[in-house]
Amino acid sequence: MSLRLLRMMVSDGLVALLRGRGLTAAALLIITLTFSVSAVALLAAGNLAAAVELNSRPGVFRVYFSEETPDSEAAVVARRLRARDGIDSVTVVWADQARDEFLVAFPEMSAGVALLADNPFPPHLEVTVADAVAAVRRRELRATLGDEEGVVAVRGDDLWTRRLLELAGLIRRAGLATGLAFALAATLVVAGVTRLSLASRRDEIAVMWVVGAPRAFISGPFVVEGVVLGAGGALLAWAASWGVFRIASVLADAHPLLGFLALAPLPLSSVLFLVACSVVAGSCGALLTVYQAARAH
Amino acid sequence: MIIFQGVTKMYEQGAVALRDVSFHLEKGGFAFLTGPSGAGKTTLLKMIYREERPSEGSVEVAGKESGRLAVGQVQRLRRRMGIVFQDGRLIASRDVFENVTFVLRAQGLAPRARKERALNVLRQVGLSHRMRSLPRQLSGGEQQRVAIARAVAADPDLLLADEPTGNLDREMSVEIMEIFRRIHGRGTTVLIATHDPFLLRKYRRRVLNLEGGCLTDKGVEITSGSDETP
Repeated sequence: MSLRLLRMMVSDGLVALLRGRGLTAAALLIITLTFSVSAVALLAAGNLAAAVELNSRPGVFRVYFSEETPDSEAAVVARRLRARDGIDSVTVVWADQARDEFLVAFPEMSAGVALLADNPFPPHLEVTVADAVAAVRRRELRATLGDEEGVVAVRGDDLWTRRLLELAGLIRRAGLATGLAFALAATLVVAGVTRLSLASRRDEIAVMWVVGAPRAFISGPFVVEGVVLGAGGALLAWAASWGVFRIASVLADAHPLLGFLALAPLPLSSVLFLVACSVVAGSCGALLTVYQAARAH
Repeated sequence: MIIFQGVTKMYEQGAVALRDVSFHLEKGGFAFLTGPSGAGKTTLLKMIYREERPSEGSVEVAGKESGRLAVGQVQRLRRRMGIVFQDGRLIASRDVFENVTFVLRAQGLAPRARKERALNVLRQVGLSHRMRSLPRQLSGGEQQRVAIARAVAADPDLLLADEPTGNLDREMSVEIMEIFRRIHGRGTTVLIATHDPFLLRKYRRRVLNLEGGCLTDKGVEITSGSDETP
């Protein structure tokens, strides 16, 4: 295909889109809306996974003792744990320290904490498991910590981290699946637009055929229309996801309880995925219709 | 240039448009295709530019059997032809200049060459002053001249015209025939479908007469230069 022919196809395609600007706008809107769902799902999944990674420490457990347990006994348990395989460190956090740590993390809660007569934060051990220890072994270790003398509870992020990461994965997969499903919808939208465009230029195309215009010259502009509509829709969907990201960032900054979120926009790989899906959908929709029309000739 | 051998065209409903038509039109020849309405003139022309295929027999154009050509080859063959349709088939939304350059563009000519060629043919048909007019702003004769300009713009080897003077007065018909004569003078093979006896009398050329789908007279090949009645 010569460069001149390619240039003609592109310019004719763009002119046709401009001529039918009402239809072009409607098609772009539909494609944007459909791909926006996928874009926002991918944005949410990515940020949820990032927030979990950022805020969780799967290798850290907190071991809580009963109120009656003397500090000396907690120290003995700490010593015993330090001697075990797979444990990196054991730190004893006394009740006052626990309260101070909380107030550093959440200063706006200090007034509420000051109203309490007793310190509600129990003493506990912070047990850090070595990075090399596998998840299964970590769960076994956590179970045995509960058997130690005076221990009433063992808490860690492990289970929630796993659940949240699974949820993030699920949202991401849903985003990808809807992306593919909506690509089919975009194909049908572009096919419809191409059909209307073909109908409005029927006379022109009939003349093109009888004067011997190459097939690429006739069908090329329609494919260009499909590609532009698809790519345009995906880029607008990306812009919409950027808008959602900006709004979420402002909300997170304004609300202290959402401070644990470190939001990021849709990564380039996801943007490329959406654009690729929509370009393929757009060109397939156009080609499908052009092929049907060509068969009629 | 054109060879029809035992060509029959039957439609699905059983109607026969052409029946066992055979003739030969030399390269550089000029012929009228005549006959009453419904005789099969348009069908015969359509077979030459492969809009229709024969049910029986073969049609050879420029050394190629058109019925056996693939789509790409048909388009290549059509690029060597200029076609003037009975209804002009101008694109209503494009002005005169664009109607002519459109064909050249479809044939892949560079913008400058397109412009030069279009200006040249519009000058030849006397419409260079109406370049920016839309088809609806032109008279019937002017529209037909635009259609001719479009057909000859790419300098075709073969020019087909289907009732090009059908809706025109005598003076305009002669004017258009003069354009065809000039084009033929450059070596283009010309085949004109018409049922205007005035033109047949005025321009003594080979006449292929169709009646009820049958070629009743294949005429005589007349060399250029001995054609016109004074």
